[in-house]
Amino acid sequence: MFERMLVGKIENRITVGLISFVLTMVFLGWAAINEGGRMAAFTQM
Amino acid sequence: MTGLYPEFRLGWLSTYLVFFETITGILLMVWYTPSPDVAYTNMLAMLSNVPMGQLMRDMHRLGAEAMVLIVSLHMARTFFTGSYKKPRQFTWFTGLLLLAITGFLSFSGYLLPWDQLALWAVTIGASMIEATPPQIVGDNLNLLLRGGPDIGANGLLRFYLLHVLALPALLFIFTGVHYYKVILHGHSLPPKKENIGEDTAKRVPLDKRVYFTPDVLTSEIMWIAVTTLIFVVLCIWFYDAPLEHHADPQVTPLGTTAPWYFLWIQGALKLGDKVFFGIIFPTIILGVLAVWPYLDVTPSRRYADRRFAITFFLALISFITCLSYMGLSKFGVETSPDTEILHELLYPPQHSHVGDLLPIPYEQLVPGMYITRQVEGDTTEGANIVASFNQEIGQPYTGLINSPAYTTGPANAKKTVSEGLLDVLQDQKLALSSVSFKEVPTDAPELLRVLKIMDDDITANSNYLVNGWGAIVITQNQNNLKRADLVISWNEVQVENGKPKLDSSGKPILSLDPNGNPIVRYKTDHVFIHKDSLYFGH
Repeated sequence: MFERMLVGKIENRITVGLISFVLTMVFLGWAAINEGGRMAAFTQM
Repeated sequence: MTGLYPEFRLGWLSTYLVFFETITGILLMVWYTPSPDVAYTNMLAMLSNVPMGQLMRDMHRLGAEAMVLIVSLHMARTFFTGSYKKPRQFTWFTGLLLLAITGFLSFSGYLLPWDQLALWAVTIGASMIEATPPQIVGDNLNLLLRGGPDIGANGLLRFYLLHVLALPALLFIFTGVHYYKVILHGHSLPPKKENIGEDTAKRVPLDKRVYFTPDVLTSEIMWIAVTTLIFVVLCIWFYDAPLEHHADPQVTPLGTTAPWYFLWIQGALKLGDKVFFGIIFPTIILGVLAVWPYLDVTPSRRYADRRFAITFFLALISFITCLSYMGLSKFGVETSPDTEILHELLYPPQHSHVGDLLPIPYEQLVPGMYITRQVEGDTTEGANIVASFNQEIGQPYTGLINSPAYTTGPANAKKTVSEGLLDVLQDQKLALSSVSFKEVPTDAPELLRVLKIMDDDITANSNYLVNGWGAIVITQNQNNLKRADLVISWNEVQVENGKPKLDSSGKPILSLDPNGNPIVRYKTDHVFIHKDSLYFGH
C-alpha cells in the first residue's frame, strides 16, 4: 500500500532528502530573520 | 538487512524522534527553571526574548505528541504482521515498555509550563495513581509523585527530574536493549514472504539482501530530512504549543481532560470504580499485551491463520477508541446549561479559546444593566422592550423565588422578580440599591453581540431554562477596573438523569412550589476586567 513511499531508487532518495534538508534550512533561516519582529510583537502585546 | 518495507520504517522514525526530542529538550532546558515562581515566566520569556524559542517549544511539543502516535503505530504494525512471534517475544516486550515510557515522558512534560492545562491535566493523571490499591500504597505513591497533598513546588521539581533524567535514562536503556534484539534476530520478513513456522530473516540470500550502506542509510537519512521538514513547516505556520494562563490551584477549568493518549483511562473511569477502572483495568490490558507472544504460540504469521489474534487487536483498538471518546469532557458529565452558558461567556483563556465577554473593548463595557430581551425583538424597539421588561419584573410575584434572602428569610408577600435579582446580586457583594435595565448604547456593538450570544444560548436550552432571560450588569467602583456580572433567570423544571422531564406533548414539566406556582431561579457569575487587560477573541 505504501510501496511508493520507500522511494526505490537511491538517486531519488538522495534527491528527496537533499531537497527536504535545503527547504528545512531555508524555512529555519526565514524564521530566524523574522524572530526579531515576532519577539517585538509579543513584547508589545 | 532483510529488506525495506514502508510499514517497517515506523521503528526508525520512533528512534529519530527520541533524538529529536532530546535535542529540542536540551535547548529548552537552557531557558527553564523548575520552580512555580518562575516556570511560567520562563515560558513567556521563551516566547518573547529567546530567538527561535517558540519554534523550539512548538517542535518539542509536536514531536512528543507525534512520538506517542508513531510508537503506537509501530506497535500495531508489529502485532498485525505477527512479528512478536518466536524468537522476537522479548523484543515485543521491550517495545511495550518503550511505549509506556514514551507515554509517561510526554505526560511528565505536560506539567512543566505551569499553566492551567498543565496543572489540571496532571492533577487528573496523578489522582489515578492515588487510586492504586491498597490505600496505603496509593497514598504514598501519590505523595512521592506530587511531593505533597497537592502539586506544588516539590511536585514540579519531581516531574522535571522524571522528565529530563529518570525516564530518558530508562528510555535510552530499553532502546538499546530493543535495538540489540532487533539486530540479533534481524528484521522479520513480511508474513507472505516466509514459509510458515520458519524464521528466515537471517537466511535471506545474499543477492536479495538490502545492505545498510548505502540503501538503508540513505532511506533513514531521507526520512529524517522529510520528517524534520514536515515538523518545521507545521511549527512555523500551523502549530503553536498551547500555553494557557498561569496555573491556579483554586480554579478548576470546566471540561479538563487528561492528555489524549490517556483519555481511554479517563473514559474507563466513568464506567465505575476508580481503583478497578483506573488502575487494575489498564494494568490488565498492558499485561495481556506483554504476555501475548507467550500465549500465541501458533507458528504461522500469515493473516489468514491468525484470525483470532487480529480480531482481538482490532477489537482492542475499537474499544480503546470508544473509551477515549468517553473520556472527552462532553461525554457523561452533565453540567447544567446555566453553568455551561456562564462558563462559555466568562472563562479565562484556555485551549486556545476565551470567554466571549472578555475580549469586549474596555470602553464598550458601559456601566449599566442590560437584558437579553432587548435582542429578541425588533431592534428599533429596544428601548420599549427594555422598559416593559422593567415593568414586568417589578410586578409582585406570588410563587417561590429562589434567591438567598427569600429562601432563608420569611415569605414576603410583596416580593418581585426584580427584588430577587437584586438580592442575588447583593449576595455577590455587588453594591446595588435597585434594578433598572436600559438599552445597550449604540457605540457598544460588542456588548450587544455578547448579549445576543447569551440570548441564543438560553433559547437553545429552552427546555431547561423555561422562560429564561439573561442579564449583564456592568459596574465600576474604581478607576480602570470594571466588574461584569452575568445572571441567568428561569423557571425551574423537573430533571431526571440530568435532562428535563417532558410531558406527553414534549414540553418540559415545571417544578412547582407548594402553592402550585413556578419557581424562579437565578444563576450568577462575575469577572473583573482591567483597562489594560488584553484578551483576544477568536
